[in-house]
Amino acid sequence: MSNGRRRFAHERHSALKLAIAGISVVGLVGGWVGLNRAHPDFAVAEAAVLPAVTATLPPASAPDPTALPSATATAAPPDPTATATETAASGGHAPVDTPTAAPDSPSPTAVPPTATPPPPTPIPRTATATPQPSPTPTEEPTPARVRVSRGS
Amino acid sequence: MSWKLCAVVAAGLILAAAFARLTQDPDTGTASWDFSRAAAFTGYLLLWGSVVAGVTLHHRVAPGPTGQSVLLEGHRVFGALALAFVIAHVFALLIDPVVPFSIVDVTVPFTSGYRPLAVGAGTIALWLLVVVLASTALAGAMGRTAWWRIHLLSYPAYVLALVHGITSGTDSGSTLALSLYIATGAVAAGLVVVRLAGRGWVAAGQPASDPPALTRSG
Repeated sequence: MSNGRRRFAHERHSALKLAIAGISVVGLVGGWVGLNRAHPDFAVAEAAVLPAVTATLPPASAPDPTALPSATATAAPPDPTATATETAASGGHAPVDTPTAAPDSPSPTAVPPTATPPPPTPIPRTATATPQPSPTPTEEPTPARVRVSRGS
Repeated sequence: MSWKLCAVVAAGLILAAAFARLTQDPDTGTASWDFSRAAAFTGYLLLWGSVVAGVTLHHRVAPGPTGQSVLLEGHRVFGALALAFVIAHVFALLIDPVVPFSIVDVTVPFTSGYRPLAVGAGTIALWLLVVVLASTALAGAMGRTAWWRIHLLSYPAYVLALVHGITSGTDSGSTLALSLYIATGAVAAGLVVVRLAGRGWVAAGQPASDPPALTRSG
């Protein structure tokens, strides 16, 4: 028994433990940033705060700020209304996709330039297979709506 | 060191969650919510890593005593860090301004108003994890068989955590999250099946029901 106690108290591989802890924390931070950037309102806010980003876009890119590369890179649908309705339908945030899902999304030139017109155009679905409810283009998804629709 | 590391990491994560909560926009900020989700994913992966390392430890596939020792320490620190991240996940839920989780909701199973069964599964998994880690901390003071039986609660803890993640996580509909759950669950299930199927030959010369000597301290 005493041998077991001694063995239990004996600490080994401290570097391994620190490495695991460090990787875990880095993973948390990366996931945190990734989840935050995946918000549909992030793209809108980014477009408002960082208009200079659009200046770096190729001329062929859509002028619509919702079609920022960051939005498409995170696989967020360019139409924030569609995201909000998807979110409400799924009972939570829009599903989070990593940049690995980006190939599923069309290129910026393939995105309909007017993503929020009253006539609902086919919106590229890249996130889930949830049946898309009829969009309500007139309702702008305020951040409050998005946040209230969050689940756990 | 595992416990000190767990305490330091938990304290740091709690401070980070509080900082996110205090600095985020009260109306549009989602930093604390995203932190909770990220902590949940990380905690789940750490718990999975602990289970996988524990089962692999029993298989004795690591080369030599050094390999077994590394695997054991990984098993221990994975479990301790999983608790730290789950604590941070719960704390971030409690301080999140939108979803009104109370301390009772997150500590008493099936009392949450939001998806009570799914949240309750996570609550039970949390308590099972606490019991398992506490028994490990007190392993030197309790009998080997009692410790081993308590340690087996880590299996239902992992299963409940997986169920909790799938059923209550708002990201479960995404391909990435679903793939993560399926892959990790399949690996864990496969290792357990191999262990159950190979009880007679895995630890030759050792009673199958006895824990490996090294796991006495894990």
